[in-house]
Amino acid sequence: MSIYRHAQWTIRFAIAALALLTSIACAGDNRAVVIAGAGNWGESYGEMNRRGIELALDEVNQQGGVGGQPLRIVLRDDKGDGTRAANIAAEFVADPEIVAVVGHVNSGAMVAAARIYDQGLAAVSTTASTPDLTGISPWVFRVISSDSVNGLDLARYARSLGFKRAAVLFENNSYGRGLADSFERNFDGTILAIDPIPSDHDSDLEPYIAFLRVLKPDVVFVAGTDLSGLAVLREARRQGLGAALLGSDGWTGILRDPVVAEGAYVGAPFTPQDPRAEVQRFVAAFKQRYGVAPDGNAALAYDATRMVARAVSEGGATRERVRDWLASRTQETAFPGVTGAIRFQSSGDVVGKGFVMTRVRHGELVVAPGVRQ
Amino acid sequence: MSRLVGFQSIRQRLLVSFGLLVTLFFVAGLAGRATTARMSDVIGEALASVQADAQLAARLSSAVTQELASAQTYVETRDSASQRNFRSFAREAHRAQREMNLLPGQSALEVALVAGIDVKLSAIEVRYARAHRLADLSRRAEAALAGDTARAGVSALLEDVRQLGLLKASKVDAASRTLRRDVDQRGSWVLVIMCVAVVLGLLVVYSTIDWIASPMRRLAQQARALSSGDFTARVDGDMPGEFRELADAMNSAAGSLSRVVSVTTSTADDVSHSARDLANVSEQISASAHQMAASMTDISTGAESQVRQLHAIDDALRAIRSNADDVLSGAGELTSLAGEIEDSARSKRSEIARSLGILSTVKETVREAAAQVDALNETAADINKLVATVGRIAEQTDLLALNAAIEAARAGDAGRGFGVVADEVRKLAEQAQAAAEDVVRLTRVVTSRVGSTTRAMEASVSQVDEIEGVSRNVDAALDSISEAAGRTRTAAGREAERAERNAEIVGSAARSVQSVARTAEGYAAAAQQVSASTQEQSAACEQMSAASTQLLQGSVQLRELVGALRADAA
Repeated sequence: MSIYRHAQWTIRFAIAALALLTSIACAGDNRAVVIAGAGNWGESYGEMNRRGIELALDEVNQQGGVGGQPLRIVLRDDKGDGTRAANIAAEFVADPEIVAVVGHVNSGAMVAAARIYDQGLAAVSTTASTPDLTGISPWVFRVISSDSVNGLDLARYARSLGFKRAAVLFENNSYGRGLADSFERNFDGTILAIDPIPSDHDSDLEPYIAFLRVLKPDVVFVAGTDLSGLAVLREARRQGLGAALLGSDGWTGILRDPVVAEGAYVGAPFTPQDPRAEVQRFVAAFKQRYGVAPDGNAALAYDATRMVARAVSEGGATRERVRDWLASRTQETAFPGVTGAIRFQSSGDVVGKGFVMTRVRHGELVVAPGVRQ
Repeated sequence: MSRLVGFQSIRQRLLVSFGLLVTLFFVAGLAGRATTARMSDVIGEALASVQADAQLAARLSSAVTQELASAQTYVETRDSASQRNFRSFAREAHRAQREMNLLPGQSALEVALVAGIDVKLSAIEVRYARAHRLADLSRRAEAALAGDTARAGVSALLEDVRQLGLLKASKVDAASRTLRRDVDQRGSWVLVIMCVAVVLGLLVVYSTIDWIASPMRRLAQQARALSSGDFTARVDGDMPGEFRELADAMNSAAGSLSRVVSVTTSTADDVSHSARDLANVSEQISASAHQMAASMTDISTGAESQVRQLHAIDDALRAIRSNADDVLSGAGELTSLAGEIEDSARSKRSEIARSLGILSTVKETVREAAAQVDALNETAADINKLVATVGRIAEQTDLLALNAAIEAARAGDAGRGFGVVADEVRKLAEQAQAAAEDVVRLTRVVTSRVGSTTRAMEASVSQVDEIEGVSRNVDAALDSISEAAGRTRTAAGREAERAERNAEIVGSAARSVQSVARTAEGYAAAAQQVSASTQEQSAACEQMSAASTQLLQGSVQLRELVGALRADAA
């Protein structure tokens, strides 16, 4: 009798212990809040995006996660391709664990994916600046200013530098076309030529530059990323193109080749030289972790990730609450990011942000004085 | 329906029911109209969407085609218009693409396809742009080559565009299918509503008819029941107010009739009871009649017995007459017989007188013997006294002898001789005593024998006395006989005998009279019975009268009820 009872107690204890362990294990796994991230990680700007996301994630989890729960991120590589991005977006939407998305990085990818996120998953793009995204879906936001704004900023900046004759080279994608159109619309001077260029880094750009050499513009505005940007700079230098070269936020990565990049103008959404304390703290942390200074990509990705974390923490860990929190930011409750205070218009575009105009001097982006911040 | 809503009247019900029906048909019509309107909206939207899609696809297709044509033309001719066209059609193509992307309800496949077209078109544009710059730089061979390279990708792009067109076409197909299904569905819904309305209408009509017909049937049934005499039937349940009044009237009529029936029934019961009582009474009467009949029979038998007794009296009177004749003849005999008896008695008296003389002699003899016996008895007494004296001398002598013996014994030898003398004296005394006793004994024997002889003589004397007495009685008797015989002979005349006969006749007549009296008693008893029967009859008559009274009352009640019924009916 007593042996039987003893056995019974043992079994009960074992079951209880097992249940406890299971619940702890499951709770530990289940309680993590999951967000997703997607971008063209393989490219340099994508890499900087990923670094910004990871740094933000680590900081959030070090500071206690979101509402006491750890934050986990699922990262997918869309290679900047719209088709791939749309598929990834569909996977994210189908996964009920995912409450929000950081990304995508590329404008074209984001435009394709936005139609999918419209089904009910909030996505905060880091650097997709194409005007096509404006008002595309109530579920889609972006922390970078639209290229319709950026193109205006850049056109005015170019004009303020005294350039009257401009030529435009644009990556023939959503980003490049949008930015080029905006620049062309807003440039108060003569546009000599406007040509689409390949977005890869080893294209043969010789005919474009040779033709520009004939046209002799004051400034060549290149709407594209640092990939095509470095190719253009290299070819221009090789052919001795006399025109000044101006790039947008996509060009923040040209510092990888400081020699070629020297003297180029870059309109950047962020500069590590920003003296604000939180910016310097971020820059220091980034440098400590990755050994390089953060650029606009990293800063925007960092801001987007932390903002999504805040939305989960303060709004709630559901898709609707995240979206509502993001959409309901006001001037007073704007999220304080390293790229500036962030809040959104109903179109999903960020309000009141602009570019910092810089010029590459000795491998660094130096803020050009006397221009609108 | 009538249970759900309690209608008060047919009018109200018809109004409500047809109002409901009209409403239903109105609703059905509205639903149909709304469906149609909505259908046209939906069709419009779907068509607009499909149209926009198709337009965009066409725009894209056209723009791409013209753009590529212009691009190719510029490569070949460096025509500035072609350059402009290339630029504008490129914008147009990308705008169409963007707008496609922004269209609602795009599938992932469409989005991916549009993105693919964008990529391919962009690449081709870039290649053409390069070719154009080469052409601008008058490097024609390179430009042609670049143009060829650019054109190489065109077929793939156009294939994508075609795919997109197919996709849109299939989407149109799907949309039209959905629309058709929708139309069918809505049509069937309207049909269902109409069917429901029709069914409900039929239900309303049917239930209304039923609502009217069923109470009518019930009323008719009750009327039939009433006419067939079943007054317990009532019309209950739900029915229109108009029928309700009729039903209530019929119900109350049935109630009145039912009450009448019940009262009539009870009255009939009373009547039947009374009739039963009457029957009993009549039975009792008949029993009484039977009893009367029996009594009458008794009376008649009594009369018969009277007749018979009269006959007996007649016979007795006849016997009296014959007896008188007998007595007349017997009187002679009797006179002779009395003479003989007188003679015989006289002879016997003489014999008895002689016997009496003999008996007197015997008596004298016996008296003398008795006197002698008395004298002997006195002698015997004297002897006894002598003997007693002898006895007492002997005893004294014996006692002296004894004393002498004792003195002799004391004197010894000197006295011995004296002793022997004493002894002899004593023996002599004893002998004297014995002789005395023998004398006494003999005397007693003689005395007793004389006594018995005396007693015998006395007995004989008394017997003689008795015989004398008897003889004297016989003598007296004979004397009276002879006297009687004489009287008989003399006095026994016809009057005496006639008196005797008359006495007999009187006795017989008395017996007849007694019999007649008994018969009279029987008559009296019968009369009593008759009177008792009469009493019973009178009691029965009273019962009959009571029963008839009840009957009368019942009939009165019935009459009153019938009067009331008429009053109700009136």
